[in-house]
Amino acid sequence: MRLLTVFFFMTLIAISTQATAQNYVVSGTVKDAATGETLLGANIYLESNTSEGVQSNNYGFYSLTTPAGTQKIICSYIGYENFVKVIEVAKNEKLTISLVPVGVKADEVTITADRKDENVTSTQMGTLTLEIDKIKTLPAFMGEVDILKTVQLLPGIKNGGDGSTGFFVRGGGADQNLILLDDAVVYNTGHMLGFFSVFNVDAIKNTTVIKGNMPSQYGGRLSSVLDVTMKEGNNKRLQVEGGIGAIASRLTIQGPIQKDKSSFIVSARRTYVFDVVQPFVSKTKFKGTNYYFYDLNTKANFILTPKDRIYFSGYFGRDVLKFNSNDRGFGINVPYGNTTATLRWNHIISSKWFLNTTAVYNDYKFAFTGKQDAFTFKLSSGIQDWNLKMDFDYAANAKHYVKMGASYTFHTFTPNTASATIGETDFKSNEQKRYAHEVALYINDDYKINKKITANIGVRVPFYQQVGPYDNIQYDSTYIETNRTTFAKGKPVITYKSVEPRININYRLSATSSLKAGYSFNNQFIHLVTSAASTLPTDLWIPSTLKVKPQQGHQYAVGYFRNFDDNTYEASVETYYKKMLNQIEYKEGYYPQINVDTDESFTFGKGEAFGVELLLKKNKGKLTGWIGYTLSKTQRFFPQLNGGRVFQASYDRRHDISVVAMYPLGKRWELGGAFIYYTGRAFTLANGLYTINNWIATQYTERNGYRLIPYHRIDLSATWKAKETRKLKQSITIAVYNAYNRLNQDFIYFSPESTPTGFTTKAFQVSIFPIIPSVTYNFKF
Amino acid sequence: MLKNSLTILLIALTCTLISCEKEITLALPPPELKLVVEGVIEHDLPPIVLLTTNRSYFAPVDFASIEAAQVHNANITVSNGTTTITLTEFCCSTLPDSLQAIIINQLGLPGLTCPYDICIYTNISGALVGTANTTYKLKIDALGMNINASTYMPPKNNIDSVWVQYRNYPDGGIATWTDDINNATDSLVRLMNRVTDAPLLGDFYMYYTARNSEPYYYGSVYDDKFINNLSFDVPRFRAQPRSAAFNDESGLFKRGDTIKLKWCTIDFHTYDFHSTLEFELNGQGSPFASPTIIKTNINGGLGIWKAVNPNYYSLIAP
Repeated sequence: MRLLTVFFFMTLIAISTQATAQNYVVSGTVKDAATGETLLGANIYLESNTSEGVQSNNYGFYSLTTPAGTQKIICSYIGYENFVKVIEVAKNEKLTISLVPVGVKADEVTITADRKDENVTSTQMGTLTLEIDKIKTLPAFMGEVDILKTVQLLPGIKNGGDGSTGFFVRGGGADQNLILLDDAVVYNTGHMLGFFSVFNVDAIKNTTVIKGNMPSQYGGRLSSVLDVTMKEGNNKRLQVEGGIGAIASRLTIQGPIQKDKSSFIVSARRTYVFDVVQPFVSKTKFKGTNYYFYDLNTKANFILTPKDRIYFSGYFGRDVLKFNSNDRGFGINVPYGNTTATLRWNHIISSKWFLNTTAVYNDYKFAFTGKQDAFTFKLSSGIQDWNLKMDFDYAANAKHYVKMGASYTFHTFTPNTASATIGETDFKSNEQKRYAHEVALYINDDYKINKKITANIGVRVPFYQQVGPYDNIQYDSTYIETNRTTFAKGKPVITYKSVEPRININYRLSATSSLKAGYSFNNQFIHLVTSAASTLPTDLWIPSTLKVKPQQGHQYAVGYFRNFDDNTYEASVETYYKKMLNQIEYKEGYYPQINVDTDESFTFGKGEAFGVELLLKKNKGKLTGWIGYTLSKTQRFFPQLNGGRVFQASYDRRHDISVVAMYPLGKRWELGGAFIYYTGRAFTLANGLYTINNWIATQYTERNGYRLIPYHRIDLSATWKAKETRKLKQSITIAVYNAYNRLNQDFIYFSPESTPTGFTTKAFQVSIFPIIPSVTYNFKF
Repeated sequence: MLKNSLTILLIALTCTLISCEKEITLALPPPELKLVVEGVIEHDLPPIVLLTTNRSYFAPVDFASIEAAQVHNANITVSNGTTTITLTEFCCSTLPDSLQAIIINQLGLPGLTCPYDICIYTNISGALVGTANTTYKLKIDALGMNINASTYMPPKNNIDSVWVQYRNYPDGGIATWTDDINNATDSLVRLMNRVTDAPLLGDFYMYYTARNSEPYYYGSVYDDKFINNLSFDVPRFRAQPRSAAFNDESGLFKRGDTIKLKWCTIDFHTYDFHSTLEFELNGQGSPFASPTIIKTNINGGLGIWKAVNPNYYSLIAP
């Protein structure tokens, strides 16, 4: 089957190449003229044939097949002046395209570049590239600009709660999103209970979210891709930028190592809100108690030859929570966070072939240390990956653009591993690390079948193998070991392999409208198991093993796309149905048990989600923004949960509306606003109690059978830009979160309230974030 | 528990300054009526069963409502496989004060007389008392419902030794605990004991503590998956009613206190019940905790039927 598929593609390409062999190729790189940053997703096309243009790839490379003769080549990219050049094509040509940012030439910052009708012409549904400059003008929670919160404003993407960076796409769990930072998987995306994301926008060049049927170069997750690319660093001049906010401050330094040849960027962020109160805390028995987080992004790149470029990039972030109660000699220390390192080599093999080779190391660790006198307790969990992948772009001809590649990852998982010391006695849990190989081969072809039909047809072949050392332990009903099978180091324990077809088809109804349909099948070999409604750092990443099968998802989607008024407005209606197998939840009545195989904590079931998403977007003019609406339903079925009855997912939302607007007011002001409304989160409510052991035990109703009241709020922002000089750019952003002080139900808790003879239980709603104003000062020089 | 503690702590650190809360009213359907069993058979003692029903979550909880939830005239039998006894209902209102004191102490309630008309089911004939290595079956017929349960009494576990440690807490420093009374900086002490776990896995423990004339309060339960076949010293914190306020003395004793420790062996189902009950109580009200369904060994009902094999230890803190 796999061989047949590959054969099919290669034959197809060979034939097409033959049929168009008299054409030539213009290829090169698209760059920002001011900074030297490569630009991805720029449109390059011939004036004589606008319908067969190409886009620059993730590394700025493009390859455009052109007929011989005089050709006018145009390159457009939002936020930049159009690049136009007439060249005589008599052979394959190299052409580096330097785009000039609009703001560099014009005093008034308006977006004047033409945007092609990308959403109508592309095969991919549910894809959006976020422009960092635009995001920065949107209202930000506590002044901290956050790409994950912006992503949550798109239809089909739901947040994990007020202020949370966790998100859920088309009925998928939070772990079903593939979140990449320079090709490194980011396992924990949130700081401070997820209120802030780990992405420091000053270091981010580009963010693309694919919520629909993901193309075959992506895999390992069921629901979506969030591909974040770090800036490369200005290779023209030294540049410093930063911001001072209510919660944290940021500083970014970038510049050339050797002008036009190599550059670097270092970007750091740290919170200080709890540092401020340290003088007061230090006078109490809680001395030493503190919380902070920080991020450090670094990147350097070197152009070795016109065809070769290498990049080193890294991210290091930590949350640190310390709590001391000195009167009892008690203290805890909870550090957790991500470390990633990426080494990338871009090589232009020929005018048609581009190779990206990437080696990635990433590590997510959660640790807890509790100490009291001679007693020390440690708990740790985490995941570590070593990854190597090769991605080829092959611009076969005007009709075929092929991507293919291979990826290998070695995973090491640390489940909850506990150890303790009491005096001279050591206690250790027997929880073993888990090891796994994950390999994937993929190929996809963006195939312009004719003027009306374009298809992206692909296949991904994943192979996953858990290897030893591993002990497969069987337990009796009291969790006493009854049997053990030992696998030696490197010995295969279980192998899962699959073939994942992916197809997206675009049928052009007219110059401004198209109908798209897609199907994808995905496997997911690692899983995040959470006992909460939102994502938390204590959530556990676990691998597929003998006992835990891979999650699988089938997604079907159909959409109608229409642009109006010369692409000023984009509109789309998308419907989807998603079926998910081997879904994971904690068993009913779960409580942590040390020295029992973690896999024994889980129960398995299936889920389904379906919905309709509407999006109306205004791209041009002074007022820009979008209106999104989603009508959806997500439900789950687990034989061992909820009495075997179907239940709603906690993140199931019937209605979800977001309205986002940005408006420049004169030369100095930029206004932003966002309105959000969604159906309240589903949760499980207590409805009964009984007296036992001299206290009150609780009985619960249907799982996720109740809902919080509908959530809504408006956020507003105004950014004032000081008069720009050649050396200094300054701005102050005033933002108001939840401007009309809506007291949303973020959660409900119950508390016993005293009465003259006993107590009654009362319910309270908590609104975590009422109206919150913030001021942030940003600078750049 | 760790997760809940962490999230509550983080929430407290991040949100208390700005979050708002208000009381709300929720319309809830009543729960399905179920019998709730709190039954125990201790070594050398007859079985005791409290039988109640569940009730609405927002119903008042006071002595009157607990009294009203009691189930009377139930037909209850306990069997050890060879002997079957029928339990008789005794209510405080019909008992002399001396017997009331025994009952409420057994139930872990403070005071000398019953705070309300507590009714228990027991059999004082002596025909069946708890013995080690025995399984006890409970059958109840009440309110048109038939429920049953089974529990096993394991052998005793002896604690090697018990003693106290004194707090040394210098001004502005960090407290440490010492065996040397001369290094004590105040009157607070903590109870220590040395425990030795048996070589085979599958031991389950429960402890209670008492202070002076107070009753034994439930402490916690443990299994031996982490401590199998080990001997170690461990602090044993003073158990308190859940309604007790947390203060500087919480979990600790004072010099001069009579300290009592009840160290019991139990079966897996008792351990499982108390573990889920503790996990549920610790997560109660937390928005970050999934509801925990409390395990039970009562087929058709709620609660626990447990066999408990205790050892008692006592010392006066010097």
